[in-house]
Formats: sequence, C-alpha cells, structure tokens
Amino acid sequence: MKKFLRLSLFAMLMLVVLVACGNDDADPTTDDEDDATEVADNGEAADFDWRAYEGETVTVGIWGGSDAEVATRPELFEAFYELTGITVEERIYADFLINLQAELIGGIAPDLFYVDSNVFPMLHADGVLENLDGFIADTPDFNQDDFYTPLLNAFSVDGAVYGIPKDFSTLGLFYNVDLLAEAGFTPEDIPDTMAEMPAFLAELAEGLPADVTAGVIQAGLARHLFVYEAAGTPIMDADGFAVLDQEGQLDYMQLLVDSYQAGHLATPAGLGDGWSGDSFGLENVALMIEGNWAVGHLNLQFPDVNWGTRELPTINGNQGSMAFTVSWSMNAASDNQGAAWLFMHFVNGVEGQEIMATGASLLPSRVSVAEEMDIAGDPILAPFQAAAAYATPWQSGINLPIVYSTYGNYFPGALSGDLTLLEAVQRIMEAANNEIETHMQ
Amino acid sequence: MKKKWPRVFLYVILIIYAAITLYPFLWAVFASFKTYAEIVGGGLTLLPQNPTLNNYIHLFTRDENFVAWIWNSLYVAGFAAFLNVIFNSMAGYALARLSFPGKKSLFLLILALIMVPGQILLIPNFLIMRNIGLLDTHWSLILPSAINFAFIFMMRQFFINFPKDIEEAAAIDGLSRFQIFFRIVIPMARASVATQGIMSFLAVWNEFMRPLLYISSPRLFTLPLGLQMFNDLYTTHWNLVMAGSVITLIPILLLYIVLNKYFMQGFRVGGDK
Amino acid sequence: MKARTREGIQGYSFMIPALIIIAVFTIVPIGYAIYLSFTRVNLLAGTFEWVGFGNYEIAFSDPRLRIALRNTVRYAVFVVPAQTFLALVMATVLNSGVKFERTFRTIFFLPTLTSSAALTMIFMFLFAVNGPVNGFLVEWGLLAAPINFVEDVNFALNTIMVMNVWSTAPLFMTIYLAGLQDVDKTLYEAAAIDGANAWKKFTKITIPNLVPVTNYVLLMGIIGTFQIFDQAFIISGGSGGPMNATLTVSLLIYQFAFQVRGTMGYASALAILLAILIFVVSMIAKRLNKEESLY
Repeated sequence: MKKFLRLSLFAMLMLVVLVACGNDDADPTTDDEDDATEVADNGEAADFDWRAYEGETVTVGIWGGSDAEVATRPELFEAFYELTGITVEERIYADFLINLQAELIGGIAPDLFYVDSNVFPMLHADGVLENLDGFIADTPDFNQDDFYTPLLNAFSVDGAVYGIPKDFSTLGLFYNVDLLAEAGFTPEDIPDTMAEMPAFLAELAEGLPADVTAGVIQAGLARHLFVYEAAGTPIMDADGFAVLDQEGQLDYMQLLVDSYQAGHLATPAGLGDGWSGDSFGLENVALMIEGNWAVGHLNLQFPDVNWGTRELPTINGNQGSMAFTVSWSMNAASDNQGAAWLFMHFVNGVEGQEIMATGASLLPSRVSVAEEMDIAGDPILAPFQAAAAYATPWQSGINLPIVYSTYGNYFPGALSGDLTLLEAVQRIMEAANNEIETHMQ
Repeated sequence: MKKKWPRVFLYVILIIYAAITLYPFLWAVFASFKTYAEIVGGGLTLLPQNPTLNNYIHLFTRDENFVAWIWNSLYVAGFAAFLNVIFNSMAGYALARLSFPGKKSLFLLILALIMVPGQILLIPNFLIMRNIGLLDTHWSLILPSAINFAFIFMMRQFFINFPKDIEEAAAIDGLSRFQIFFRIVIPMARASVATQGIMSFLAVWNEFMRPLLYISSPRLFTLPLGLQMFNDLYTTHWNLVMAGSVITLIPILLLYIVLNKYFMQGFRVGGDK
Repeated sequence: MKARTREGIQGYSFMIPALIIIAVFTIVPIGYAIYLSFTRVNLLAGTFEWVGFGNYEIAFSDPRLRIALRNTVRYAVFVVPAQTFLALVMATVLNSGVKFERTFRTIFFLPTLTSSAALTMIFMFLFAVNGPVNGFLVEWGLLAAPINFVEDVNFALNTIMVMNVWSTAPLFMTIYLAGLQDVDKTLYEAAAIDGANAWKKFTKITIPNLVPVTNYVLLMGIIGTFQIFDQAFIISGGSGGPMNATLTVSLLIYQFAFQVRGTMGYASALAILLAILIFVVSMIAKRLNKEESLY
C-alpha cells in the first residue's frame, strides 16, 4: 500500500508539471476592445485593399453541413483566393462545441469559426470572441444595416458586434395538400391564429384516415421558446434564472398540450419516426411545424409528396417563430486578424452570400441578397424568409444549456399527462434554477 | 427416446438466440440497399423493394477523401494492433513471470486507473497531445491505443499457465530474456496473440472519441469520423449510415473469419495453476 | 541478491512501453482531473479558484446526482448479472457438443464486431413504436397496444439495458467458452458415472471451475456498466430524459464538463467519485466471488 501511495505521489508530481505548462499558454483571454481599435487605427479606411494580406493563410473552424453546402464551399474559398490571394484552410469538427472548446483552451483555435446563436452568450462571456466594430467601421461597403436586425442582434452585446450571421433558418407550417383534401379542406382553411388551431386540428383529425395524425411538432425548448415569450415575459430573468410559470406564458403552451393529449398532435418519436420531417414525408401527418431545413430533405427523400408551406399562425395577434442562426466570429486570440476580417467581409458580403445561398439553398441573412434572389417570389421559402423580421433567435443568456436540457427532461411528462403543464414547468424551474444557483455563484 | 428431448431443447435455444443476433445485423445490411424513405418507412421486411447501390455510390463520391479515410483507419488500427500485441504481451509476461519491486501496487494502480470515466479525460488528453505536438497526426490515435489493460490482464493469465521448463531450457542455451521472449514465448502464444490482435484492431477501428478530438483535417479522418460528416445538423441520413456501417464491418469480419481458429483458445483468463 | 536485481531490471524493461503510455495518457490526465476537482475553474475564460472539497460537498447534496446514481446502480444491478448469466449459459450450451458450433459462435459474435453507435441506431429502430419489436409483441397478443419504449419514462432505461446485454454478452460468452476448454473433462465423466444430471454438472463442476473467468467478466461488466454513456446519450439526445429516466452519472459528467459554463471542476469531482465507487464495488464483487488470483 505504501508503494501505491508513492506511485500516486509520482502522478501528482507529473500533473503539477502539466498544469504549469498548461496554464501558461492555455489562457486565451486578451483585452479584446483594445486589440480591435488598434487594428482599426492602422487599417486604411479610405480605400479598402483586398490584396493587403496576399499569400497568407486563414484557418476556419466549421461543421460539415448538408451535401449542397459541402459541395459549394470549395467554390467560395476559391473565389476568395482569386480576390485576395489568401488561402483558406478548413478544420471540420464532428462535435463542434467540444472541438472548439478544446482548441480554445489549448490556444490553437482557428482564426475564424462558426458560432451558433445559443452558445454565443457563453463564448462571449468567456472573452474568446473578437469585437468586430472597429473592422466594420473601417470597411465602408460592409453595410451593417443590410442584415436582418434580429439576426445581427443575436451576435451583439450592448450594441457591439461579435459575429456576423452567415445564414439562418426559421420555423414555418408545412401542410400536405392531398391529405387536407382527403379530409375535406384546402390550404386556405388553415386558420391564421394559434387560438383557432386546436379546433381545426380536431376537425382535421376527424376527416383523416385513422392512421394519420393531424399534426406533428418536435418537443423541445428550441421549438417552444417563442410561445413562452409571446406575452412579453422572457424565459430568463435579469439574474439568469429560468422563468416559465408567469402570467401569459403558458396559455398557448396549454393549447399545444391539450391537442397532444387529444391525439391531434404528436411528437415524431411518438409516431415512431426519427424527426418530424420523416413523419411528414411518410404522410403519417397532415401538418408539421418545422424549419426550412426540412424543405431540402422532403425534396430529396420524398419527392412524390404534394405539400406547401406558410407562416406560423399568430399568437395574440402577433407573428412569431424561432430563428436559428449561425455567425462567423473571430478568435480574439488570433494573430492573423487582418486577413481573417477580409474573409469575414467576403463570405458575409453580397457576393459570398450569393454563392452559398444559390449553391446550398440557405437563406441569406442580408436583405439585399434575399431581394436580389427574389426569395419572396418562391412560394415554399418565402414564409421562412419573412419570419426573419420577427422571429425570436434561439438564445437566452449563458444558462440556456441548463434550462434546455432540464426542459427536454421534464416536458415529456406534461405531454404524457404524468404532470400538468404548470407542474412540469415548475419542476423545470426548480431543477434548473437550483443548478444555476449552485454553480453560477 | 427420453434422451432426445434435451438435445432438441438445446437447438431451440441456439436457434432463437441466433435469430435475435442475426436479425438486426441482416436488417442493417439489407437496409444499406434501400432508399431513405423505405428505411424510415419501417416495416419488418428485410429485403429491399427496389434494391439500389446509390447509398454506396454516394458514400464513395460525395467526399474525395472517402477512400483515404478507409486507408487511414486500416493503417491506424493495424499499427495500433501491432503495438498492442507486443506491448501487452511484454507487460503481461513481466507481471506473470518476473518478480520486481512494486509489482503488486502497479497492478492495483492500473486497475484503479481504468475506473475513471473517459469523458473527464478528454480535455487533459487534448492538452497533452498539444504539448507533445501530436495533434492532427495519426500518432495521436495510435500511441494512446498502443496498450490495453484488459489484454495485459489476459496475457498475464496466459503466461502464468505457460510451462516454465521451455524457457529454462532456452536459458541454458544462452538466450537472453528478450530473445527467449520474442523467439520462443511469443510464437507459442499464437492464439492469444491473434485474439489480442483482432480485439485491439476492432477497438481502434471503431474508436470515435479520439479521432473526434484530435483530428481536424478532413484528409486525416478515420472512417467512423468521416461517416459522421454525412449527417448534417438536423437530419441523420440513415441510408448512408447503414451503408457506412456495412463498409466498416467488412474488414473486421474478414479478419475474424481468417483468424477464427485461434480466436476462442486465445481468450484464456482462467485460473492460476 | 544480484539475480533479483537483474530480474527487477528485466521486469521494468518489459513493462517500460506500457508504463510510459500509462503515465502520459492515463496518469497525467487523471492527475490533472483530480487537481481540477478541487477548483472552480473556467478553462475558456481562464478564471480559477481553489475551493478545496467544495465540489465534493456540492456533490453530496446534488439531487440530480442522486437520481443519476440510482439509475446507474439499477442499470448495473440488472445488466451485469444478466449478461454474465446469459454468456455462461450460451457458452455451456455451445460447449455441449452441438453441431455447427462454429457457425453459431460466429453468428452470436456479430454484435461485438459492430460499432456501438450503429448498434444503438439499429436498436432504436427495432424498438420504435411502429418497429419490429412492437409489431411482434402486438401480433402475438402479448401487448394490447404498442409501447413507446424509447420515450416512455418506465421503459427508456430498460430498453438500453436490454440493448447492452445483447451487445456485450457475446464477448463474454467467447471468454467463457475458452475457459471451458480448460475444465478437466474427466470431472464430467466421473460425475456422469455417479449419475449426476446436466444441472448438477453445471452447478457443481462448470461454475466452480470457471470462478476466475467469472471474476474477469464481472470486473469488465462492472466497469462498463457504471460508465454507461453512449446509449444514454443517443437515446435522450444528451438530456437524460424523459424525466431523468436515462440520466446516468457519466452523462451528468459530460453535461457539466462541456455544456454548462464553468463547471469543469465539478465534473471532475463527479468523475473521481464515480471511479472510487467502481473500485469499491469491484472489490466487493471479488470478495463475494471468493477468488484472489486474478487481481
């Protein structure tokens, strides 16, 4: 046993050595405001020079994306190289958050990387994202106002921009034309307000074949957040604690739960499917609330289904939806920020967005590009593009991950009827806030 | 007449269990020839309605690196398996046959180490790889996998039961410990070596977390990591997943069939004699 | 004395490759984790605070840890005996001189050769509401209506338990089968002369002779089940739901390590506690099985 102890001591010694070297260079915090202004002062504001960093390399950290995205990306990088002479080196992460955190901690993160709106507050709070205001000010034709406001706001803190939204998705209502007709309805019969939806779902269910459910919606805070906030109460209070049981927060959620318990709404897993897009494609449901990523999936995997889309019904007279957006952000510790900004400017500029949007059928985050491509004239995508103006970004402070997983944990209890909706949200608040209290000082 | 019934009963058990094992496997194999819609459309049927090779064609053509991923996996798993066979056998031999100070506590320590859950070691391991400069190289996959505690135990068990007189005779002939080990002991341990070889190859071949953490250049990906790239943010392409898992399985199945005769004998963890 | 020194040097030189690898890739990271477990640290922001046993104190009053622990123990208590028993029985059956032994063996071994992620996905399909398992049970009148195995609070954990038994039993079966080759055949012959039936032979000869193998299988089973992560992660999307049904200790560690901000220290403390628990349980299992030789 003594020898065992001696070995343990040896291990401790090794770790002290490791920690010593780990701490030195693992510290990615830099005073970002200063850095930004410094670069801004040195930059040539008057005439923008695309060839200023010729011959350099920028590294970008991204995830794989759809087939179309993967196929279009080389074209984008090539166009950038033609313009600037800067080579783009891509790192593809399979588990983005773990990979990025590891590389940031190790001090070897790429110059630029994707940031999903829901993890943005955390990364910003940790000081790893560069303030872009200086760069934007020095780039006259960047035109910050061209971006949809809710999307840019998702990556801004107190008016300072820390990421440029590269594209986005929103939620819309998908309907199966043939199934509606079979039940005796036309797409025009779908109500415009959420309040009328339960009755419509019930009527629809009656007219549909027994093995077809009226509607499907994924259960999860990422889909429900805007409903809780529809009456104006955010789900997180100023101190970062979850609030889900206030006046007006549950009214519309209750409608959803009631329709589910009446069998008019289902979750994809309840139908035995991996996700809503499959339930809808297999014609197990007539209506679905999903994001525009389902559009490509339905076209590719279920080309024979006859369907259309529209904006979500209104809540309390207001339009609402969720916006899922991803930014290009800059590593605060990058020593290559000038070249990195050129890349940001290019991919988020009109030309870059056009390449990606055309090739990969993503929704552009610039109003001018959306107009140029006439997305409003595309009957399938128009409802999703329209939602960009009013959708709630999938984001709610640094504690959202805790609330999100607690929600996913307890909300099924409300659907199954083991808990009332109020009981479920109270449990979610209790568990999440307890954890926030313990670990967030 | 009376004696026949237990036999029949045995076969019934065997066949039922074989069906339980074989069905999911065959289902996955056949699913790789189905369209996405047919796979998620469910149904008990095994055989595809309209068999298609599109899933495989898509796998091989979407990413220019796909064939490289297969080679990378073969190389990494093969190399790691080779090192495993040598290092585990050496360590097992030392633990079984040689007496040296600290042996017992070393044994306990190794045992305690494998009880720490792996998730917590991801970041420290990443930092170590960075500090020794192995990130984004295949060495970062091979070196940490070059030994395996379970096989060290297995080899120790094997060598405890290994007849001593052969080594003693060799020692009289003037061979050193290392010569005895590599020229005489290892060849006689064929079965255990083959078993270890397959199992450690299998473990590295299927490894997901290490490549995920250490490898970021697409051309250096291993197959499991590369296959993950075919899933985008919101959808899992089941047709490609199934085709991918069949491709993943082929080399292992071949290896298993080739070395089958050694396989069972090699798994000896029996008692000390 | 000199011979002993030489043998000691030889011993370490045979151990050296393994020792280096263990030191660099296991001991150092674990040491680092132990160190972190006494801190409140945000590695990203670079903030750091020494909290002594603070994280461990939090752990002892953490309601989610209690739930995770209960699930994990329940998981191990079912899976370890079930897979060990199944492996032993199948090995004995295979070893009783049946025809096509090698064919059966190869078929049984298939799950072990397949990657666990692919297996989990196949299983999710099989246990889906409109999947084959439900289809079979309803058709044979064993169930009135299909069960949502994956999403139902009462079934989610059981589903992954069954999956685990099914996928790990074959490996242990092979180990048992190898062990059975070493059991002295004359023991069975002697017992047959004494008129012992198959059950008597199994309990009086097979099981006692396989005690060391059983020890190994139990040890590997205990470590594997107490660290259960993949299946719980895939089935719940990482949340541990529905209603904490699939929340395991490893999943909790993962959440604190990577999803919650600034709780790497707490995650490390949980990992150390889990390792200690596994060690204690393994030692108890070894005692119960009355065997000293293996470890």
